[in-house]
Amino acid sequence: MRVVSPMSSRLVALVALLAAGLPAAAPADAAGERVGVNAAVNTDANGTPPNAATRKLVIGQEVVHNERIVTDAKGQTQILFLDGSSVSIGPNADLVIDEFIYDPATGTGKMTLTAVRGAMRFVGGKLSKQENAVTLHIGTATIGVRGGVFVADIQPNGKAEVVFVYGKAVTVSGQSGCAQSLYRPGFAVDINGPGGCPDSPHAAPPGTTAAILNQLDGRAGASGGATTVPTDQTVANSPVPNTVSNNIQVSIQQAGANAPTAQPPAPMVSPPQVPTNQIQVASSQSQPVVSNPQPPQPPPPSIGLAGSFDNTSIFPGPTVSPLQNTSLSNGTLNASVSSGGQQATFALPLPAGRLTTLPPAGIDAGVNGVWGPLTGDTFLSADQSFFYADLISASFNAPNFLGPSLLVGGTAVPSSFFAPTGSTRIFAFNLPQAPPTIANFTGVNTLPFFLNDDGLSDPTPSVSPLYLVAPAANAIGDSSGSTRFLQASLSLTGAQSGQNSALMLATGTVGTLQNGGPLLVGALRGVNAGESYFSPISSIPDGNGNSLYGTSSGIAGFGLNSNQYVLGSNGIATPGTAGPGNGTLASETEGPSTFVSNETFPIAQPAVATTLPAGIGASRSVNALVGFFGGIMTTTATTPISNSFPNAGGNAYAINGIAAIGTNPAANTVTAAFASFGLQSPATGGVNSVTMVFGPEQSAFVDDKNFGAVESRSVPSQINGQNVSSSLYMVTANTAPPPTSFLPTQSICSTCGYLQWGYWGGDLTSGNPASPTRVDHGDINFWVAGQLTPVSQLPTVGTGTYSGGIAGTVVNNGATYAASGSFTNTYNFANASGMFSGTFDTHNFNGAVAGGTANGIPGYAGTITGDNGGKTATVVGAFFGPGAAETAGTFAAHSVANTSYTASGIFGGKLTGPIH
Amino acid sequence: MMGRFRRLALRVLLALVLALPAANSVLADGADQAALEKQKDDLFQQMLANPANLDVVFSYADVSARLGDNEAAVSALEQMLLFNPNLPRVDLELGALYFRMGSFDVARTYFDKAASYKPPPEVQKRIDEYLALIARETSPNRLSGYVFMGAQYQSDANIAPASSMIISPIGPVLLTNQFVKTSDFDIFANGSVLYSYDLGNQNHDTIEVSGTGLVNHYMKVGRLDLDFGEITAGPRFRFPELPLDWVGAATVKPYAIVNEVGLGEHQYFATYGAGLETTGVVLGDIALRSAFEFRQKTFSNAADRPLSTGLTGNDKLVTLQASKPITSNSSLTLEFDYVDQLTKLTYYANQSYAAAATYHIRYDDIAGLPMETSLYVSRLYSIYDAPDPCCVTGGGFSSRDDRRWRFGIIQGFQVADNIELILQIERNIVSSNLPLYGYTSNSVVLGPQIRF
Repeated sequence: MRVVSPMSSRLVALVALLAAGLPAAAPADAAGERVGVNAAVNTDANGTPPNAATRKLVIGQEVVHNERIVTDAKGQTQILFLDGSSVSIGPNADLVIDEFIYDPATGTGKMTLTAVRGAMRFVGGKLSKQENAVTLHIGTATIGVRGGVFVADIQPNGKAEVVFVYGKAVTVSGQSGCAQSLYRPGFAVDINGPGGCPDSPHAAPPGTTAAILNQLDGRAGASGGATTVPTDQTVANSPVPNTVSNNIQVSIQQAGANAPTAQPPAPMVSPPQVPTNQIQVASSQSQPVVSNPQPPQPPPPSIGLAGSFDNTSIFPGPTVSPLQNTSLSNGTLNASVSSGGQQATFALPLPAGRLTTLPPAGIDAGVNGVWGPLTGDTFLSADQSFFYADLISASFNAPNFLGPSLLVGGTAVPSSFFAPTGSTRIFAFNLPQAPPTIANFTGVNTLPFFLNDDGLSDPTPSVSPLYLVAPAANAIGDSSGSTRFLQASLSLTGAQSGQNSALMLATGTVGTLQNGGPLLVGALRGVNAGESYFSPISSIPDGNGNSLYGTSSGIAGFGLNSNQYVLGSNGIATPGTAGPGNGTLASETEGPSTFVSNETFPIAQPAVATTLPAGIGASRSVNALVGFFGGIMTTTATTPISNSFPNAGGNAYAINGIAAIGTNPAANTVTAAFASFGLQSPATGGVNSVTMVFGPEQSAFVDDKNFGAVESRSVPSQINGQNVSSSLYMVTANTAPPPTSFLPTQSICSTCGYLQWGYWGGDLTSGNPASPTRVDHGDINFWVAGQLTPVSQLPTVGTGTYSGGIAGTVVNNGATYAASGSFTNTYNFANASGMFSGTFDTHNFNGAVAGGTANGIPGYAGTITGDNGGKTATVVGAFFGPGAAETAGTFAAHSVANTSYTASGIFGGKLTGPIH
Repeated sequence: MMGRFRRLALRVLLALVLALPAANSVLADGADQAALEKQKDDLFQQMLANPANLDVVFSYADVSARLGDNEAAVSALEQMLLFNPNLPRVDLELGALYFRMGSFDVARTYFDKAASYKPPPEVQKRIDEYLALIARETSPNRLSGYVFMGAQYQSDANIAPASSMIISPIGPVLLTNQFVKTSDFDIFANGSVLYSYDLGNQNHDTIEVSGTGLVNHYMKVGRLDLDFGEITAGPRFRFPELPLDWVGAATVKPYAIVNEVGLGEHQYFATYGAGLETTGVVLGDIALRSAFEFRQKTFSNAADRPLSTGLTGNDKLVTLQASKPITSNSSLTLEFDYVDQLTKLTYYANQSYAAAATYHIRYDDIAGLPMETSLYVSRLYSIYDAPDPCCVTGGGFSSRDDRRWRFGIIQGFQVADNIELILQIERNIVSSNLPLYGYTSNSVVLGPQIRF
């Protein structure tokens, strides 16, 4: 800042006036120079220039440096300084202009005033815009001005009040140096006499400012010295009103800029767009069906005991007949039925609360005249709300032989039980084995839903309960379709060429029977030694439309058969082409051979409530699992062979690829897509790529470890990019674990936390399903998937040793079987390489793997050798979980010398110790 | 539709170009300002020479006010009261000048004084208007906000890819109709209110509670109907006396955030979080704003979006914004945003960077009606964390990598003091390495916006 001495200031002021083309100022007092003019004066106001006599002030008169201005009891004046500042003083005021230095060229300078008493107003000009340029001494305090306007009232006794009006700040300092700053308009400080400090800034009491202004803004009868007194009309005729008061918008804008008020919210002009991308993701994975939710239809009121009689010996033809006049009394079930052209009235002993095995010779069940003595099993729940009886004529010589049949019924579950509870409910039901008596008729049957003549003789198969999972927010059976059921069975006995295996998956939805109650509607998919099973499955409704029996406390049981129902988007189930009246037949596709043949058979299976196994439902998450699948597919071609598959016909080939699985705990559904790597073996018969799509229409998600699905209805599976019809299954191994003889811990990695694994298989049928050109069949194959370790979390240094299990499928000299093993992978993250060694199907493999990206999944791959060079295998793997805690992958192996041995499967394991 | 869209955009741009020369700012700028400054200096010298010349004094007050020098105008008009204290019109002008300076107590003193003279009705009307404004400005409780409602057309309402074919892990998949590009109209109502409570201290610290809401309804894609409500609350601390000369009007506001969002008549997600906002003016006229927010979001699934809960996680948002007046009636705003979105499903997690520029101008059209125009453009990069199982590219899975251009024009036609008719035309172009996420959408929004 330029500092101008008092002497030079005189020159500056003079130059300024000359430059303005004005005549030189009127003669000033000899001792002082002009610093401004009296812009208005109400008498009496007197000025005393330095070293000069006191003079009476008049309008237009110069005010000079060091002049003392005093007003009497009526006096008022406004001094207009050369920098544009103005000071107004009221009556009985005493003001001295100590210093005024101003350079109009730069707008800089200094002003110092001393006011001893009186009311005054300071309105800043150019000087006050500088720091520390304007100072007012009021005897007991000093006021420093940074821009703006303030008013003050100074009492003769030294008390003073300063009110901030506008500007950056006013600092009031007491004589001891204590200071307070004012910067909010309307705030004030008081000085309570000589030596006092300014008090804390506070809002000026009401009327304070008005009282000060009242002393400054003229007085009645006085004209301020003006020769022409303005009137209101003068003001109205001036341009000021249009610029100021009438321009309210500008007033509001400037007030907003000068008063720190809360900024009103900025309008959101464009409505936000919904982040729907994730909906699209869902679309690509699940093709969800959108339907308007409808309230569940309550079942008809219970009219007491009711049930059905499923006479599977009638082939083909209507087999399910409603029980009539059903009652329980004195431990005997009484019911009439019309079945197979026979009229029968049961009087069946039915002890409550237990399963009763009837003697092989049979008992008189009241129908001796129709079917002879009957044998089998009977069951009545302890609360007598549910009963069933597996019945068969005890003798082939009965008048009318009754084949394996199911009598099932009870008291309909009240509708209140089906209402949503706000919590997910999971129920478990046992599927009792078919009774020995029936087995005697058609062979041993230990697996639910399998044809009795399949020779399955596993005394300890892995049979899961039938899980029924009801959503928190939807009623059981409502249009959301989110009540689901899941059941899987696995039999795996013997090894290698001596192995017998079978797997069956039942899954679907609980809808509501048209004019009835909740009804299980779903699909059965199974495999057994190259054969495929597929069938609809449903619970068996009675004459009232109810199929679930129990009390308000729960579902005690129900029957299942292969009646087909079509579930509409409104959740209403209507009979399908294989529904009641059209036969109740499951299908078995025979193979593998060069021909496809079908066999149909009935199923009838009771389900009885049991305790939910520990841990079921403990963790139910939205999962997007990514991983691998592997296995063996066998081509089964009809003749003539299609041109599309010139080399097809009874060959087995390894298939491996990427598995993507999504689980939805809200809808209790599963979607999955298995996409093969490129297939190049001649054994595929021209199949270069296979994609298999599962769910969500017929799927069930019970929890993170128990879920399954059959083929998608909405997205077709494909071979070589061409749609094919399919009958597929995929299910977690945890639902039906393999025996310890297969894997000692019944898992490839029983302690892994981020991996799931399971089975897949079924048929892909090319050409017209009625006359297929080719069927590609997978029996019990394997998949593994989990939460991939994000690329950003993959270690970049250190070595980790992973250990775990292997599960795969083998074709060895024509014998197809499942095999298992174990592996170790010592992986160096720093140089992205590892040593993979393992034993599978009694063969030892080892070799190096190298880091890379396998089909977009960061992981590793390598070709390893087995049996000292007799076999070779390709391994592709990735890391899962935080910090690459686990690993999993897929492999394909074959013999080097010939095509006698082909294997494909998956592996999974975890770190045996920290990466270091 | 695109043809009509282009013609409409051209018309709006043409109207803007034609209107700009007629734009008339409230305050002088540029050459006008220099001329006025000289005029003011000349008048000041004349006042010094003859302070009793009323015409000169009034002219000086007028020119000073036009230059925004309210202090000089106050000096001149207070001189008039010494000439004649019985001038309600001068009291009115003084009140208005003090109002402009934000000194509402003094302004009220002058308005009250003017009213005591029983002034003419037009003066009384003005007094009443200003007194009402002062009552609002000085109340410790303040409520401000807007309501905006209208209709929107979007050429791709569900922001779906143009092609219905995507390459998924299961091979090429034909998306069902609901997931391919669909144009649609929607009607919407959107509003926001800000309540502030003045704590009464000299710093003018306040408690601020803001609420924002939106509801819309699509004619066809009803599953995208959105309900949105958000509340933030926290104290705003002001620092009018910072020792840094080049920083003014600085504020700091920590706040809490809660919101609830519904989609397609089902709950979509709920949020709780916290933020810290700072504002200030630097170098005289550059308004800066920065904000950091942490938002914890919990999503819910619905039948048509079974993977929504995979989006559950948290957002960390950083916003930096600078706005500078270009002329007295126009400004340029630049903004940078960074969002780190952490989600339960890693392939939804992403880091996004966005830069945006907006030019805003207020003017009167040829007929003298106030209008405002905003032109904006933004560029966004979103980089996702993990391979997305939705789609296959080049034979494998890839992490999603999005780029977005967004540009448009917002034209406001003032139809009443607090009501504008808003027309917005916008184009969004999103490209992605995963074709599922690429789309181009044009939108037109029309509706009245009411401020209060």
